[in-house]
Amino acid sequence: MSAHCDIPVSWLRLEQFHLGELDVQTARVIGAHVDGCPGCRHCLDSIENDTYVLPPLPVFERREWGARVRTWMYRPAPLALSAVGILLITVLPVYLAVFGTTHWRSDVVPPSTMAVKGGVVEITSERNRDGEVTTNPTTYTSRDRFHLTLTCPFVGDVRYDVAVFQGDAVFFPMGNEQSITCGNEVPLSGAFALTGNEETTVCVMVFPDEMDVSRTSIRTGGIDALPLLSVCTMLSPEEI
Amino acid sequence: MDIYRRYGPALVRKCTRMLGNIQDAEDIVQGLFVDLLKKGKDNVDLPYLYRAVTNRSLNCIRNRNRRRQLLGDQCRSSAHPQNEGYEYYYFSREALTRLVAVLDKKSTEIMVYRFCDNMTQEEIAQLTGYSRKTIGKKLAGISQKAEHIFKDAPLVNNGNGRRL
Repeated sequence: MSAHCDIPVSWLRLEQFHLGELDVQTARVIGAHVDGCPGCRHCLDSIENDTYVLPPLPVFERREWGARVRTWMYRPAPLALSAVGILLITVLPVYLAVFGTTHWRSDVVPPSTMAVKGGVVEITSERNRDGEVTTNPTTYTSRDRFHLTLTCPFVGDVRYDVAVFQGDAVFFPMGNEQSITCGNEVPLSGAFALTGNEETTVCVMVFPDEMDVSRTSIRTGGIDALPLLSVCTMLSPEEI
Repeated sequence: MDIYRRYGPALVRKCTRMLGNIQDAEDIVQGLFVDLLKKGKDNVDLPYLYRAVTNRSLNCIRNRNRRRQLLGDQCRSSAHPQNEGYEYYYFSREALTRLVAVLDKKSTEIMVYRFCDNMTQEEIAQLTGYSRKTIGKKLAGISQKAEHIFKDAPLVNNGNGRRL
C-alpha cells in the first residue's frame, strides 16, 4: 500500500472531521478514506493526538487594586477616552508619587498566573513529602522538598530568579544566573526545603528583557521590590 | 470565548505548519480572536477563521526579517522527525517563503491552500469565492514561477511533488 494518496484529504477537512462538523455523508467518505490511507491517517492522528494546550486569551484580566498589570485593552469610545484621559492627568501623578510605577505593593502578592502578550507566565510548585508528590500544595513542613516549574511564552532563553519570603526575611534558594528556554511547565533546576512556622510566599521573577532586579533591592524592599513579571505561590505551615 | 477554545488549537496547528514556530502561531491566532472580540463577532466558522489566519500568516512571512529567520530555521532542519516518511503532506516552509516573495497576494493565498492545506481546487473555490478558472490559472502561474526559482536551487524538501 502506498504511503500517500493522489488526492489527500485537506487539513481543513480533517480538522472539521475531528470536530464533528461535517455532514454525515462527507464524514463517512472521509472516514473510509482515512481508514485505507496511511498518509491521511497519519495526518488525522497528528490532530487527534495533539497535546497542545491553548493559552487563555489575554483580554479580560481582573485588575487588583493597587497592582499595575499589563493587559490588552478595548479601544474605548471617544467620550469615555476623554474621561479616562482627564482622570489620568489628575489622579495618576498622585498615584505614582505614592505607590511607584514598576513594582507590586506589599499588600498585593503577585498571582500564580499572569497573562502576557503571547501567553501566560505561571508558577507551578511540587511538594515531595516522603516520596508522595503534590502539585500546587498550600502547606509545608520541614521535611518537604519543593520543586518549581515555570510556564512562559517568550522566545529564546530568559533569566529568572526565585525568592522566598517568610516574615521579614527573604531567601534565594536557587543559584545565581539561572536561565531557561520558555515553554509549558519547564522545570527550574534545584530544589529547596522550608523551615520555620510562618506564612511563606515563593516567587519566580522572570527577566525576558535582561533588565533584572538585584537581590539586594529585594532584600531591602521585600515583595514591594518584586518586578512586575513575577508569579508567586503561598504556603502555610502545617501544624505538627 | 467559546469559538476560541473550539477552533484555537486547529488554527494554531495550521499557522505552525506555515510559520514553523508555535509562538508566532499563537500570536497570530490570539490577535485574530482579540480583533473578533472587539468587533463583537462570534458567529464565525472554521473555514472563515482558516482564511483569516492564512492571510495573517502570509503577512508575517512577507516581513523581510521573518523570511530571513525562516530560511535560517529551514537550513537547520528540513522536516519534523515525527513527519518523516510523510513529507508528501507537509509543504516545505523554504518553498513557501521563497514563493511568497515573488507571487501576488491572490496567488500566494491559493498556493497555501493547495500545498500547505492540501485542498482541492474545488475546496479552494468554495473557501475563497474565486472561480475555478481563476484558481487554475493562478496555479499554472505558480508552477512556472516555482520552476524558475527552484531549478538552480533545489529544495531540501521538495514541495511534495504533487501535481498542480
